[in-house]
Amino acid sequence: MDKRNEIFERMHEKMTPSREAEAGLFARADQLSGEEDTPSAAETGGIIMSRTIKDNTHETELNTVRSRRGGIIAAAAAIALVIGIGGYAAFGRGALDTDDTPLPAAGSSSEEAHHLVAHGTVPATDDMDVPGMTGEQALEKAAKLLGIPISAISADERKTITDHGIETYSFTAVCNGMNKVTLTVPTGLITETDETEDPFMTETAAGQALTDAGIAHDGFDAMASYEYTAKYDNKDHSGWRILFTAGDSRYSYFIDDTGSIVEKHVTSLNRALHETTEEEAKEMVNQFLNVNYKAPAMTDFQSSEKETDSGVECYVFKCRAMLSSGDYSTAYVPDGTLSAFDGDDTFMTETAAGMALSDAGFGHRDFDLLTVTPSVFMTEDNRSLEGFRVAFIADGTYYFTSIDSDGKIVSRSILSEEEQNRLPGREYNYDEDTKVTTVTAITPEDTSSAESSQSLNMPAEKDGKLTEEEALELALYVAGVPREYVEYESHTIEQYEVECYLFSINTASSRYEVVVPTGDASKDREPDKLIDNSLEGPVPQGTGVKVSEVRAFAWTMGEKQVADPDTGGVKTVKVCNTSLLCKGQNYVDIIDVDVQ
Amino acid sequence: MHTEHSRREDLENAVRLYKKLVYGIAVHELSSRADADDVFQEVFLLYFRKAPDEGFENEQARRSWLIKTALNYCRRFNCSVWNTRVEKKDPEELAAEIFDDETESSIFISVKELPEKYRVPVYLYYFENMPAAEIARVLGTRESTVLSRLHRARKKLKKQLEGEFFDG
Repeated sequence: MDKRNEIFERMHEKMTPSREAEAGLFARADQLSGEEDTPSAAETGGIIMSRTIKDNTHETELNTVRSRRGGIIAAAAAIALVIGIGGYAAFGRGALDTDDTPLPAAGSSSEEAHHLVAHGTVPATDDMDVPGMTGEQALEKAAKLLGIPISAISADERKTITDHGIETYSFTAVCNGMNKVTLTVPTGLITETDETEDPFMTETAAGQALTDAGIAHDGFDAMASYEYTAKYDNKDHSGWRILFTAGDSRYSYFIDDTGSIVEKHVTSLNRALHETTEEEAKEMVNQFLNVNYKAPAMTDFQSSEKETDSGVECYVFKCRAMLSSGDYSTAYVPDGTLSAFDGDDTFMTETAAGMALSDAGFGHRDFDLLTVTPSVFMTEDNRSLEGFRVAFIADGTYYFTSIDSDGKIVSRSILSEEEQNRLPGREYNYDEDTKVTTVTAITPEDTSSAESSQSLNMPAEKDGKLTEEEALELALYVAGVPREYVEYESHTIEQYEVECYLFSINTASSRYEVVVPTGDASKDREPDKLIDNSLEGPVPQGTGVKVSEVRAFAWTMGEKQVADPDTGGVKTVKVCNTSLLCKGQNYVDIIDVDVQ
Repeated sequence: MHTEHSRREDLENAVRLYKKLVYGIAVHELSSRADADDVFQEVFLLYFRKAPDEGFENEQARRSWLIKTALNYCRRFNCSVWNTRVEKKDPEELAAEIFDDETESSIFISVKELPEKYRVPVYLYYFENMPAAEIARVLGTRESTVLSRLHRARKKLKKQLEGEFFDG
């Protein structure tokens, strides 16, 4: 055989599955022979993890098959090894030398091993002596308390370490797209130490957080820490996010590189959610989506459902701000109902929403409102990325996170209280009888809302001809522009075979064209004509709407960025943003038209 | 007709003959040994459950089935939500875990970094000694396509590797 083939032959010999994988295969095959419904690896596991557990005296090699969904399934060989030495006492507490311990042949495991392989649980045995806890238990505890779903953690290394007399498990994990999260769980075992100084408390961000919270080094139950960069006050702040639980409370800190505590939230692990009706939930969404518009805050709710995920019941709305030309968002508002958690939180593990919550240090039950919107981002090297923009309110703070479709966090920002106060406020009054929402826009500089508020009421429908003033009021409403910001020109046109006013409205940043049929039926020639693009500036065709059915329609030209499949970057396309108010409706339809 | 006992024997036989084939494919397609172990288990478990009672038509057919199943499982795994969320190992890291020889590591990394349409024929041709005609049958393509892909792959590999490992 020539040298070239020798190399491939050698390499081929080395590419073999692990002993445990083979043993596990035959164990599962034996199970299949006996049972109809053997769970597949997709259901029960299959990740083979090999790790070293160290304590002060011994090094223990343990190989387990670990489930992606959180259960632990041990290969027959591994469990036989563990059971053979007195259960999980082998985790560093027993005298164990694995080098000479033979692994049993596949299929010869004890009954308990078969039980474990099938059901993925560790049964308690009478002779188990667990003064602290096992590594698996520590990981599970961390996940539950911190709200980081265990199935999202891939830990490469686990050790028991002793720090200032406090024994802990420390895992380096990848969790929900966050790289290198360090999870720390005290086992409960504390040994005496002569050390008086505790550098963990004095020299680490984690220690600083504990100190601020008034928690001792051995007083927390589980902790996660990871590098974090957030944008607020128009600049980036790098530092550490420290998340820990102690007693009934869950603490989330963001400590920057200078050691300043930038952010601090304390929530109760037993937090009772505020009970919310559907109307209240819609109103919250209404305010949230329209927060950037100086115009009537109206939301188009395309659909409304209820959904329970991982014990949290939410109203789920497909919705969009009326004046938005973007995609529809999915909005979640918890209704206050919490049911039992089944241990598998797919909302947190498999959605952009869950990732954004996790990243900000919050759990599934911590948000008051959350929206997810498809989005396109630009990278530093001018590539476009498709992904999602997640916005949520938790603990009184607004969080905005961009996540690409691969699950990586693209950007984060937090709206500080000061920035929140700079946003225009809204007052909403919903009239049940007329089914009209009256919105009052209030600018933050106002000292008195009564003195300087601008009312943007939907004008009532009227039979007969509108005066120019009435038509203007309607035009401003449909365009969503408060009167005080405009200059306008008015014409009367007959191009639609129906007499109309045409207003050209200029604000500081935009120009709107608004058509308002006058209502003078004597001037109608062909009232059945559909809206078309006879006028300058395109108007959507194919709306199926007749001019005679319309109270007003407005359009403005704008631009938006979309992904360019040819270059991989983004391109700017012109859009015509049209608002349409039909007779008998109390809301404005927003239609986006791409202009070639 | 297979009895349970003979199915078990058949599985053991298949594993003995083809575990390196299946595992080798998986380790080239995926990013960790643990994931490759996973796919190894799934492929043979499916074999155990679904292999025809009367056996395959011939040994070639059995091997072909295992290769296609392994490739399908790898593709499915690579597209899974889990896989898109978890940090993957670098090929260098994976190579270091399997091979202690620098040349072997380099070859592994270079092959692993080929696009799939080149990587799979290269693996089957050089590591499994499969003739191009059989590779074509397994992959459902023409022999000439396999040969041209091998040719292009060799050109890429020669640029990256010193030494004439991938001659025709």
